[in-house]
Amino acid sequence: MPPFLADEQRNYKIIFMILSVSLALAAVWAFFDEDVTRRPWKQWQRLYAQLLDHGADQVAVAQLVVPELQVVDRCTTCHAGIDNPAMVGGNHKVLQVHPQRDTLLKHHPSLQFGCTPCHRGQGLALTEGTAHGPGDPHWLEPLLRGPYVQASCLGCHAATEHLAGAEILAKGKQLFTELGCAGCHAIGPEAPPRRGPSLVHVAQKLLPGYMVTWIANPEKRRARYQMPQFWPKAATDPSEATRRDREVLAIAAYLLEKSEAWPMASAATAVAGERAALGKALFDQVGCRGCHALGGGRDTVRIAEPKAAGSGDAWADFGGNDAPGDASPVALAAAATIDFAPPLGEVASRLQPGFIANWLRDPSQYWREARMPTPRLVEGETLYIQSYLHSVATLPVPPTPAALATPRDPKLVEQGLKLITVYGCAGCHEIPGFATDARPGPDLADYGSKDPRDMLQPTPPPPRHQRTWERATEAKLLAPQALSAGTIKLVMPDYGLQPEQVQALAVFLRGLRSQTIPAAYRAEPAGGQARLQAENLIQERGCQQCHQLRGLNGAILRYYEQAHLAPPSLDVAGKRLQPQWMFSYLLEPAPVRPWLQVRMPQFRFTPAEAENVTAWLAENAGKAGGLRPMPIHAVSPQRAEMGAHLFERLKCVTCHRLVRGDGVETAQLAPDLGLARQRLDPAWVRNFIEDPGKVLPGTKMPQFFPDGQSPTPDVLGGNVAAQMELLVDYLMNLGLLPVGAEPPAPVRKGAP
Amino acid sequence: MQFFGERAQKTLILVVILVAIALASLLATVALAYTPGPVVGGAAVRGIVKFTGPVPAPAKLDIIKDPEVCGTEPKFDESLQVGAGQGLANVVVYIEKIDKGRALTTAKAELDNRHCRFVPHLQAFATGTELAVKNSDGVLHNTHIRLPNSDVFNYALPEKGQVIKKKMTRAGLMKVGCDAGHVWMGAWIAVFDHPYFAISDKDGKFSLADVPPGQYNLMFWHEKLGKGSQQLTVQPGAAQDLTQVYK
Repeated sequence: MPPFLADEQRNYKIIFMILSVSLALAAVWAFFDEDVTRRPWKQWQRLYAQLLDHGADQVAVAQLVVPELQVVDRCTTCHAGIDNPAMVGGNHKVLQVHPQRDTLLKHHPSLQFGCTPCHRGQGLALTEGTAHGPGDPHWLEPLLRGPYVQASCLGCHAATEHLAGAEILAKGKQLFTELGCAGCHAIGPEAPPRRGPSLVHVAQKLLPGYMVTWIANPEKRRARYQMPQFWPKAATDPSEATRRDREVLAIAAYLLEKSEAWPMASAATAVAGERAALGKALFDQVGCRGCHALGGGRDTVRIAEPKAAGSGDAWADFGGNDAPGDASPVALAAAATIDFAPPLGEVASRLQPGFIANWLRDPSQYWREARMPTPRLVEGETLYIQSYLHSVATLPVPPTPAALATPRDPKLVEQGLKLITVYGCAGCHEIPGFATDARPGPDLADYGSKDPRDMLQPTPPPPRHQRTWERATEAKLLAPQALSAGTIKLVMPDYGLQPEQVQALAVFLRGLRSQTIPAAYRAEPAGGQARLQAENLIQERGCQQCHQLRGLNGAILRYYEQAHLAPPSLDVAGKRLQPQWMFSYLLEPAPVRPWLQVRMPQFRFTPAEAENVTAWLAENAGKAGGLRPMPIHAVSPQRAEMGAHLFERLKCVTCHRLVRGDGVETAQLAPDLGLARQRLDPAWVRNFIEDPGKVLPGTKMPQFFPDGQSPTPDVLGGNVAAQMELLVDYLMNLGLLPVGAEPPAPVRKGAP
Repeated sequence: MQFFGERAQKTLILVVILVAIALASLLATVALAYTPGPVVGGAAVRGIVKFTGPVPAPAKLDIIKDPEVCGTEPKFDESLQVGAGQGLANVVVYIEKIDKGRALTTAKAELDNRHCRFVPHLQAFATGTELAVKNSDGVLHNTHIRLPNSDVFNYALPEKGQVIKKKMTRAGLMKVGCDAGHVWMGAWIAVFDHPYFAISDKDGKFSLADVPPGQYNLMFWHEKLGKGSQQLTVQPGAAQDLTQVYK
């Protein structure tokens, strides 16, 4: 026995020796296990040095440290060429420059941002598997792949609508809003308005027989804002179908029983006859068709000027007309969708007979948050439209199920209450007895950081390494009911989403994380929240359904043969109108062109909303300055007199009326020029007078000064520019300077 | 490593495609355009257009504006005018898609606003003709001339006796109207890029001179009765007489 083991501590020494040997072996094992000999990152660095044609003497671990974001990233150890614009193409993806470096890295310099705040992954790791995620089962933030990297933009950017490179994220965010996800799932402190219609007075709106079929199987009547499917569409199991029918009946019973009385101003339920014919004319012409279609091939309306006697109507028969090159604005592709709002061809089988007329008086009286504007119809007109819509229907009126007739079984009603709670109907609809801020589904504020091991997997479950956050989320969104298994019953309904919608939505959800971003890193949208609000309003209220905007036509324009009969272009309106006038018009529209059948509805904008929309339209037209009044060039009485003379010589009052209180005949041909001072932009008026057809294609306003010649050569020496300036000055002072009266003080001095 | 930008390659391809399209369309235009030249063996094509249906009494126009200038005498719809022997007036007769023949003659043309009517009600001329638009009335007229898909011009004529001249360069059937409240005013102008066209006179007669030998489609157009056509074969030097019937 060796002497050092001979003492009484021998046992401890043996243990110590074994442990020492084990440690040595472990060290050797770790050395090989960590691949220290090879170190792939060293190879990448040597290769990079070679490609740059200098020696490999700079081989070292590279590290980006961003204390503000608590980031230590060694990604550039391998991705050495990430910020080098020369590293394009080639065989080595690892060394390539960052895609879209010019925008992405310019706005996010690597020294300020690092890599993992956008890409996630394990910044400290130096091998591919551990750095990117799947190689380290304990690292819960794997690299975001493909479009999912866009999710990270959400962390700092308050708005993603105009973010270059974040298009899929923006689409996902829009879907989240449009589908009403926020009705059930909170993602932040604010509660957005509900997407579904109010059910507070539903008994006066819907036929009970229709309610049950709709709740059980909502038709996909239009592409957007659609009620989802709560029960499997094709119930394979008859007991499933029975359960569904029982539940639907109970829900309908509750809704009808608790429906609160809505004061209806008109009880008229007239249906057919002459009223329907008048209603058709109104429906076709006042603007309903901008958002609503009838469906079923009943939308072949043409709106044209009445043909003058003797003008003939065989124009199109002529063979020698030149090729269609310069199409009228009406022939351009329509940008807006025809199914913006529900089709109305079959409302008779859905709605209570008196509902439409009362709804049309003011939709917000029925539903405070109704998106439909008030159509500015008078009492008789609402009835005509109601008669018409009831007369075109082809489907039979569904009978009322016995269980829904009064008196209703209190047990059934009680059961309905429970089911409405379970299915979360109140997430989208206002329902009596349910809190207005109820959010039935789980909070999603941190959903993007969720551990995939805690998420439901589709059946059969995929292999362990494929159970990623992305797969689980996409599977759930694509077919929520397919994830129900055993005792777990998912109530999330099926929205019938397409795969690309699912992905966009998942990208957005991936970006939902409760993280604290330093203030310096938070990015406000260009133009601020006001601009975003304006864009949302323009989109959501459907301005483009009727008006041309940004060169794209509204859906309603497809019905018009002549552009001047259709709603005016908002691109032009932004240039033509004074912002202040536009602002008041948005709040309270008043007819300017009495010959137009189509009417601007009342959108019930708040003053702040109207201001934002006005500012947006003005900016879109290249005008700065917001809602400040435009400077008006004041004129002397002599000049006003001269202007009046020219105005008379050019016979402008043949078509334009002037509200001056001097009894000038009012015409139905052109806008009231008495409004010019408040309404029109002087610079636009000048351009318009010069060449009306160029500024406003299709206008009836003729050109008075073709080829720079004036019809009145004796005024101002026949100088066309001076005459146009005089006309503008005169028009812009009309109403301020009654002929023969003292000139009042100018409203505001400005540049000539 | 590839340093030659992918973008540059794409741009190059795009430019090549665009140039090719431009050349192709240029060729197409040249091939379709009318080329004047000497005509050998040209022949006259004469004829008469008849309307055999019952002729309704012309509708009286409703003069709702400016009667003191427009005149108080009744005005009637001018579209359907049938003369002696059922001859139908105001039919545009032209050869379709003719691509060569005699030179165009560009006489001067006039369109008068007189007593709130367009005079003439229908006219035809060749491209390059200067049209003088005139206002003989003391009220504001505007002469709004349109092709089916676009405006040709829309001139205001506020002064009595005012004339605006415009060289007409586009071909096609143009509709003329007055927007200044005179809704009953209407006229037609047919502009051709070749000389083989005519308008039937009050007895329905028309004639086309010096048509080169060949096979053509002879087209007829009337504002109320629409279009008609006939096969036309022209033999060298052989004049021919045709009849076209509208029922």
